[in-house]
Amino acid sequence: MTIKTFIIGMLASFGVAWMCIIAIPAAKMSALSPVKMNVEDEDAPYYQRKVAGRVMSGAAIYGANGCYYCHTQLIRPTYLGRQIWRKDAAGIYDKDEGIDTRRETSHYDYKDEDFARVGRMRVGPDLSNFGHRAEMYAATAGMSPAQWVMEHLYNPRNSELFVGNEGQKTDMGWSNCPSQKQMFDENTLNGQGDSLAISGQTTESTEVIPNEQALILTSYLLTLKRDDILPDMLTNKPKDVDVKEEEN
Amino acid sequence: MSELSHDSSAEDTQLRAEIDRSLRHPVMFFFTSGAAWLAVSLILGVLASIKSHNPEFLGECAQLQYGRVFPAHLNALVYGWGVQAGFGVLIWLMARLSRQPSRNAGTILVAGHIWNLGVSIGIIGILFGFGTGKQWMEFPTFVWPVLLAAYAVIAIWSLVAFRVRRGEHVYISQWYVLGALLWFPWIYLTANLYVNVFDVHPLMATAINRWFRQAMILLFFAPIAIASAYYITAKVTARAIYNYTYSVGGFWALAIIAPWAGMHAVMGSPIPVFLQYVGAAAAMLVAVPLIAAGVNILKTASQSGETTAHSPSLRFTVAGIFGMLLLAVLGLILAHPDAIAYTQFSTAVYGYEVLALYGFFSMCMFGAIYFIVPRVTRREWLSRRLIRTHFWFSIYGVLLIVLFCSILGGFQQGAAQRAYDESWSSAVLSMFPYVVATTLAWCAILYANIFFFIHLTLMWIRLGRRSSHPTLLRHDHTTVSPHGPEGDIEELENAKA
Amino acid sequence: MSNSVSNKPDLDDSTNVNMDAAAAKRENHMFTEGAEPLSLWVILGSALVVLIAGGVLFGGNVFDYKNFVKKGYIRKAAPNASGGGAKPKLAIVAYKAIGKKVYDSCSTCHQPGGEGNTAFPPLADSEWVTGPSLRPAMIILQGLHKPIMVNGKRYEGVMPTMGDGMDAKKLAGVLNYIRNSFGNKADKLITVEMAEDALLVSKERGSGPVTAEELNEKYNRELKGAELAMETPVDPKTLEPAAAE
Repeated sequence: MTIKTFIIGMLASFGVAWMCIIAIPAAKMSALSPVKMNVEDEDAPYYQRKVAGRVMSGAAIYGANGCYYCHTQLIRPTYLGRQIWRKDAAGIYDKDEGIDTRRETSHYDYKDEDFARVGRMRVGPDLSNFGHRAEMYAATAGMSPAQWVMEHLYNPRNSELFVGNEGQKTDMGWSNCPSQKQMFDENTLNGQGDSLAISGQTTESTEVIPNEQALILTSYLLTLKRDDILPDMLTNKPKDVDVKEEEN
Repeated sequence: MSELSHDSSAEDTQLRAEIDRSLRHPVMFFFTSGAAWLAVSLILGVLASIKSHNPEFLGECAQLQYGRVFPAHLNALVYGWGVQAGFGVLIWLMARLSRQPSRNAGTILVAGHIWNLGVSIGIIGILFGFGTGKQWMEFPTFVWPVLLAAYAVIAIWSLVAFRVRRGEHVYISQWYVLGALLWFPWIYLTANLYVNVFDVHPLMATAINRWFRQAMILLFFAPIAIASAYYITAKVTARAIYNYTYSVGGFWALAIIAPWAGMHAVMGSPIPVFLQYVGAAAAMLVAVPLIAAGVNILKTASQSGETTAHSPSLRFTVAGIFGMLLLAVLGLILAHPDAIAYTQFSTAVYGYEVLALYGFFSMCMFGAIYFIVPRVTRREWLSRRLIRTHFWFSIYGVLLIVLFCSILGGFQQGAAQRAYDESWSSAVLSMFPYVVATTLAWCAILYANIFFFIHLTLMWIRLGRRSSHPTLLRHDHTTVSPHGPEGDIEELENAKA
Repeated sequence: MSNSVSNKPDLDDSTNVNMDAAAAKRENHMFTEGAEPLSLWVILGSALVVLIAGGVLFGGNVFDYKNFVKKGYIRKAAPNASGGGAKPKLAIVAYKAIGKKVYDSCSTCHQPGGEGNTAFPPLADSEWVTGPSLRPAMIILQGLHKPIMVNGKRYEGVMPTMGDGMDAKKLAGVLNYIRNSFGNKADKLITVEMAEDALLVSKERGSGPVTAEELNEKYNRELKGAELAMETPVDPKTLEPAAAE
């Protein structure tokens, strides 16, 4: 083998692969054309995914603290995964009411982020629809969703956070989620205290309140709702099932 | 042709000694700083493993939480230890095989210091909350151009060494080293530009990040380890490589197949299906070149079984090659879509990485280090017991991690996740024994390498044995040794004179 | 020469290689050519790997950048999911559930309890609501202006049209809701088919609010359509009669 053969061989073998799996798909994915909600209707609107929250900066905090090592954000098709059937993981499913918004992840779901935080392992549950779950748990625990998320970040082993319908509490001692106490500050207590103070941590003179990191991360986590209705071209549900529209 | 000649001509010895001396500073620097980073990585690894089942161990401070300690551990293992050990071995291999002493050792040493600086800043950045959140690329984004620049210096001078080589024949190790030298910048630059610089679809950025991890394993770490293995095996056994055409074919098979692998790590995500499945197919098919190299090297070594038992370099290298074959089989299993359904988001990924980085690459690097350091420091290793402890506890640790993370733990975790009617807590609790076993396995590896650090440090500060005899793993009380009488060199020479 | 090396172990310039580079001296010469035949097992093993990998590759639409899931994928239902769809409900319950949601936009004027106020007429006990069903349907779809007498009182407000986005299901739902709440009790269920009738009439008439006189002259009839008993179990989504479980 001569050096010339070697160089040509290297360029060819690596270059073809590089073109086919990196350059071409990256270019194509950056140039996807918008999709109409349904193809038959001429006046159908284009699909738009609306997200309101601190996505970019929140996702950066999510990444810097390694949340993606234990949490994923991907609902796979049924030939690969079963999270779509897990309660509250892929959307909202209420059989009695006839609501089923569960769906697989679509490539629009990571809009506004620079890097899809698909995640590495599922030590903790998938977070694709964490926004919905946070609202549900917060309602039963009697606090606002943002408050509930921050309580969880402060101490994931807090057993007061998961309250069942009859008031029974779930013991969270099994959770290995690290506490993010660096996102909270201990401040002197002024008057009646801050509305976002972490429960159980207020002493006579101090209270624990979230700092900016907690607020931004919470804002991001509450945007994690990936069950909106997809256009016909992108949806994978069986044709005869009608999804009842959610009023939000 | 198959006789061991332990008495080389003066010319050969002179040339080898000159080459070794010319590179002594950068090679020892890479090995010792690499070993220091290995120490850091193992300590962080044990800590991360403990944190994964006892999050309140050592308090709840942010710098030691799992999500920061684990990426710090992994990146220290890859960039602090892995790449630097690779640098040390490849510059020495290239110089020896090109039969020219290096004239740019100083420049390479400076580049090595810059690499270390970059890695240090990166690890500290991760621990203090500036990580990027992208696997194997968690260093803060300003670090990668620094590392790439340091690499460029090292690579260019190694390529120059190849260019000015003497002799007609290019040995297979040189092709693999050249390959690694050319692949690394393509891989590193592609990944960092697409993920950190260019504006691409977020899912493509993630897919390219996963591709980067696989490409680093197959197109940087594997070629350097295989190059080292081919060299050490041929050198120590004085046998010809079993089938030379097969070895060149294996190289090209790796070159053609490996660049396609990697994106199966995001199978099921909404990227084009073609990328997912070609990644899986290539990750499985790459077993073929790995088998080619493995069979070649092991067949060569098996012709001289005694040597494998005696020589630390060869024993570590052979163990590393067995690790490579195990990696090929594990890759074959884990890349299949039916397995991915279970193990995609489980510790199986971690087991594969550890097997690749430690069970395969590091074992081959240890073999090379046990060979090179005596030549560069002109001292022999002090204690065969230290080497044996290093060897056996490494093997125990790696096998346990592969067993508990990849094979048992990964599938158990996947099965528990797939039980969608069960609560999540039962999935977490079912993994508890596996995580604890992983911690114990890392403790075994840390224990093994404590002795390695001590040994290497002693060699580095010139406290090694001065002897004409190598430190072998078995002590044969033969009356006549091919190396001449055992004992301190000076005394022997003085006695002769 | 042998004396000069003893104090400076390593980095000196003396090169008595026989002494200082013992390791290099005892190294073997490397032989690189070898041409032993390959074992059949290795070839078979490699072929097996190629076959398996090939199978995986061609399961994934080679060089197709358009499909993001495997071709022909339809989402499977969970294995233990019983049938499809929700539990059947009584027709009147299902319709009222739909109607209640629609009524949210009516409650601002007509009040959540249907009692109205001085400006807007009540729906409770109102014979415009409980009487012939085309009349309230037209009021909803077209809007109303000019004075109207409700329960003996005179109202002179304007009701805007609520017809935008009102499909047959919603219309039927809200009609059943107002006719069976606030103390009202209708004897007949308004079905989707009957609501379609109303929509047709509305389309024929064109846009523009109706007046009380016009309602009594032209639209004083029941909606046309097959009758359905109020207690019939229906699928809450499609509102089709379903077999009770």
